[in-house]
Amino acid sequence: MTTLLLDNVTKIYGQGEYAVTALDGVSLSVSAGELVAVVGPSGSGKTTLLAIAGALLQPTRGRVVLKGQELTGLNAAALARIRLEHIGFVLQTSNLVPYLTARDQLLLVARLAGRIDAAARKRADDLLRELGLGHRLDHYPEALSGGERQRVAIARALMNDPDVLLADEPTSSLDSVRGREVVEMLAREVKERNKAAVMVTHDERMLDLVDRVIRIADGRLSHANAAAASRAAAG
Amino acid sequence: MFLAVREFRHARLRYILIGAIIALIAWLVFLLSGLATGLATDNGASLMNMEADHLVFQADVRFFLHRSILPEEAVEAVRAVPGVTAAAPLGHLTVTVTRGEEDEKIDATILAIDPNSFLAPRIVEGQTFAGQPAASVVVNDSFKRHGVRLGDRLMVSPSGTVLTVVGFTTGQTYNHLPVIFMDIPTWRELKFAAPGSAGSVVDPISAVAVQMDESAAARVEQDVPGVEVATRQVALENLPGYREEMGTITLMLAFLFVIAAFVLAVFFYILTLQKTNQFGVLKALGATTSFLARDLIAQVILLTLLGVAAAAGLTYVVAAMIPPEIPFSLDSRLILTYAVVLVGVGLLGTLLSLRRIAKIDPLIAIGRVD
Repeated sequence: MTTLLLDNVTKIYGQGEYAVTALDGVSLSVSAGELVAVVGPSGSGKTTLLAIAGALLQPTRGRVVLKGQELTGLNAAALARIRLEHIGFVLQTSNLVPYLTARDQLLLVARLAGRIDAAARKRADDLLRELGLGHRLDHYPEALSGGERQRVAIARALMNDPDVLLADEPTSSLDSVRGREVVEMLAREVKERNKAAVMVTHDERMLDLVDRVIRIADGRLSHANAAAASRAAAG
Repeated sequence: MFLAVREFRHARLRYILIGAIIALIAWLVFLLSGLATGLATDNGASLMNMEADHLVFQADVRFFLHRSILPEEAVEAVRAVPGVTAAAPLGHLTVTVTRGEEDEKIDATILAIDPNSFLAPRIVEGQTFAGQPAASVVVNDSFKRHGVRLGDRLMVSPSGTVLTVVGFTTGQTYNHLPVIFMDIPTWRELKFAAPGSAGSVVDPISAVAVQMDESAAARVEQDVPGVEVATRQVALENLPGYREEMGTITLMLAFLFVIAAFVLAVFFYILTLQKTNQFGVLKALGATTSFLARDLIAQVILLTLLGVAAAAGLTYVVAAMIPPEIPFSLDSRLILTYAVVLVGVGLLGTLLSLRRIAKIDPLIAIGRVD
């Protein structure tokens, strides 16, 4: 079942002779339980793709459908609501709130959605324990290692039980062992919780862990299967 | 509040420093306000504490007590006006006195009254001058600082008239000078010593103190010839130097409020700029501008409240240590008003930051758009 659908999406920045086409007629559908990697060089449009899929940016043309709901034409407040209820972001390492402990990073999401109750506290603690952070609940980001921070980010993304997980270069500041651990955890959570997930990365070493690899260049997609990609990476 | 309190806890030093600046500004505001109240009291305590709500002056003297002369029959005329509850004569004179044989000169204001009227001062030591020999007086207790005791004689210079202190009152100053209360006849001898100095006025007094309804004021001006009526507050504001003193301090207070607004605005704006990326992340997670705005407002209110409360405490400590010669007194209601204004000014200063927060695009959370 398709959870996230991008239908013939085009994004053009600027106007007239300065117009730059970042995405050119991109179509992509991601099903529940599927982890899709979008790989491409910088400037290829992969961040724009993630921003549009994540309701942070409106496409110039085309449709975005999330769980059957059309996102095109919604205002900023409605998009914030969509992000809060349906989308989990795993952002780059520096993007934890510096003055919140690991537990509070997750409780903030509960607070944004309403009240912090006993169920939310339990869910936060359970998620962090599941990701191997049981001993780090009350630590601030500054006291966590890079890998631990990314695991907190994954737990935070799962806190609101979203339909879609979007990861933006989750391994960019990690060495290959830690990076691999993080992507493994992401893949496991996607399977166990049956989420649709898109990971934007330039890290080719992780591609054997995903279900599908999509290459992007100059705003256009080319599909390849994961097995082929992993062979390419190994060879 | 969720973010506000956690940020305080984590960046304790930063917020303690900002709170300290707020406290220092508030402290200065409170001290100036204490000085203003002190000066006003010092200047016009006798007027402020007077049981009269209006004063009737000679017309066209701009409510200057020392220039006003009325005939004593004006008291009866005023009393006869409908709506007037009570009226009493008042005499005024500024003098210099010396105690006994000593050289120390004490400047003082004489207020001449009928000791049986509502203008009679509260006696805190000794007795009133009613029924005492002529030239018996009741003086403000600040005379004690000059060594004056009950029974002491004060010589009025240059006339040489000798006054006998029979009682002390308290909180009675006029024109920054301690008040000597005496009866009308004794005052007349001092004030109108030179023949003809009262002009054609028979049995002169300075003014009439009145208790009446606001509505009777106009009728008094109609019915009694050659008079002008002022409320007690207007009479106070027309004391020599009163407006200038209050104006100076009011101006300083106004500048302090403006400075407080700027300082807070700049502090919080810089903090907001530093946190631009964080706010972007929070918005990407689904935080609305109003959630972030409410949190910032909570932060500012908490911080200014704490700073202002600390300053108020400090002010009362200092007030207890200030020597009595310095005119300083705290009006708790005024302090509370200024505290509220300071918190309001702090909120005004956050408008700049709120505008900034509203403009932040959650897109910055996922790095540069390529």
